[in-house]
Amino acid sequence: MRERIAAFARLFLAPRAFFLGFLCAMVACSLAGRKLAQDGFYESFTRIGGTFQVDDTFLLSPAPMVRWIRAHCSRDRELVLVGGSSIMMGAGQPVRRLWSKRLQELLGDGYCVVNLAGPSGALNGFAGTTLGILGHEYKRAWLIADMHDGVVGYSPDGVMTQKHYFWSAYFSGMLEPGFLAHGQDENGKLRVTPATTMSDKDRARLEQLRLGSWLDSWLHFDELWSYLHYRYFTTYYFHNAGRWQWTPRAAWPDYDFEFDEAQARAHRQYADAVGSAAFNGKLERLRDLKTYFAATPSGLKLRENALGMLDTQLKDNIIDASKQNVVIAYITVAPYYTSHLSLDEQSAYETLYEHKAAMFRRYGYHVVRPTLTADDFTDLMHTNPLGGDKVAGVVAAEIRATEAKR
Amino acid sequence: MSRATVAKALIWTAVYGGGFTAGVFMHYALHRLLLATEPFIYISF
Repeated sequence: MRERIAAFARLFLAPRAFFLGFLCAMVACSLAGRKLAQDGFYESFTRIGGTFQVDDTFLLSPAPMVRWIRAHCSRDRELVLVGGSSIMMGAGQPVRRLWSKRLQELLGDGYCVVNLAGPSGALNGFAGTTLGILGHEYKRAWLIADMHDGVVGYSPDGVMTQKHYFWSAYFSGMLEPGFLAHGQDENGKLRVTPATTMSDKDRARLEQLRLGSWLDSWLHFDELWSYLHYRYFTTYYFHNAGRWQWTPRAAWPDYDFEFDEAQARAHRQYADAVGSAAFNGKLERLRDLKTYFAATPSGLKLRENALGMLDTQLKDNIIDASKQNVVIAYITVAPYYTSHLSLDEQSAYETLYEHKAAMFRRYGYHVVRPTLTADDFTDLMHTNPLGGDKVAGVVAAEIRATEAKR
Repeated sequence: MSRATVAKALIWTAVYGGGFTAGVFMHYALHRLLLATEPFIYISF
């Protein structure tokens, strides 16, 4: 009896059967993920919002995204990739009145506009990486992004929420070698981010992310589980909401409603009434110009080398604006707030814009600036559909003017 | 087929199934680990 128990125990603990099962599962899951990535599953894509909102439960993957773009934009059209921050994503704009849809209307069928802008993003990240993958396949490719008064980085992999997209494309060999070469130093090493902008914790996190993305390029776990999350079920606990979320991503609604101009204006003013604590708080932050300006007896003076970091980042950027077509739309803060600043402070913001725009132009970027009024904003910096239409107008005009010069 | 062979086969299948399940969970865990490296940061002006 004892021997029989020992034999059963040996069999039950036999590592061969267990590890064979483990290996089979890993291979099966990885192959399934690879197939899903190749076939694509982002059918309902409109923008990085709603179903495609990037948060700590969902990462956008380059393979299905690129597949979606190839399926929707034929190669005889010019590809217009919209990058940048939530302003360009259209936060404050219902899907039906998205500024990039207006841009598509203005440019016509010869162009294909894809909005890949995401919260806190810059020109790198989703749109910049996609340019590096698809740019050379199209007749011509454009990259549109915003610049605003805040500080943004231009690391080739974009902001934290968009880094996996770049590294996944990088490790899967999706990036075009010519594009990649511009981001490498003399030793062929990729310039990631100027060291001064990264804390040790962020650097460690980035290393972990790169390792994860490298593993993912072999095992395709992100594609498989994102697909299940997208199509069938979601099993994440949302700390902010304090509940489990079961509804699949594909059923998450995007911000959409019939836009009413008067209602939008009333809502904005109600949200931040002049003199309210929220209004004053934002005004205080706008008045804090010491990053760029020094207070002198004759007024605010731009510090020497105040834009040194921006200069380095543009110089080192993987996107070569002298060869690529990159349009930067400068979006100022809502005049609803800035009109309460002193003339000196207002003039400081104007000086900042002029210097930033000159710097972008020096590296080959096109810079446009829509004239926006208080009625064009939904909050401090996000435009409503009225402002969005103006942004689309100036961007379309710049693209048309550049084409006409060729 | 003897009863012992059937029992062995059943146990082998159960262990294999356990390994398979562990593999699926490992695949899922890698996905969750990757997600955990990307915090959601909104721009602060």
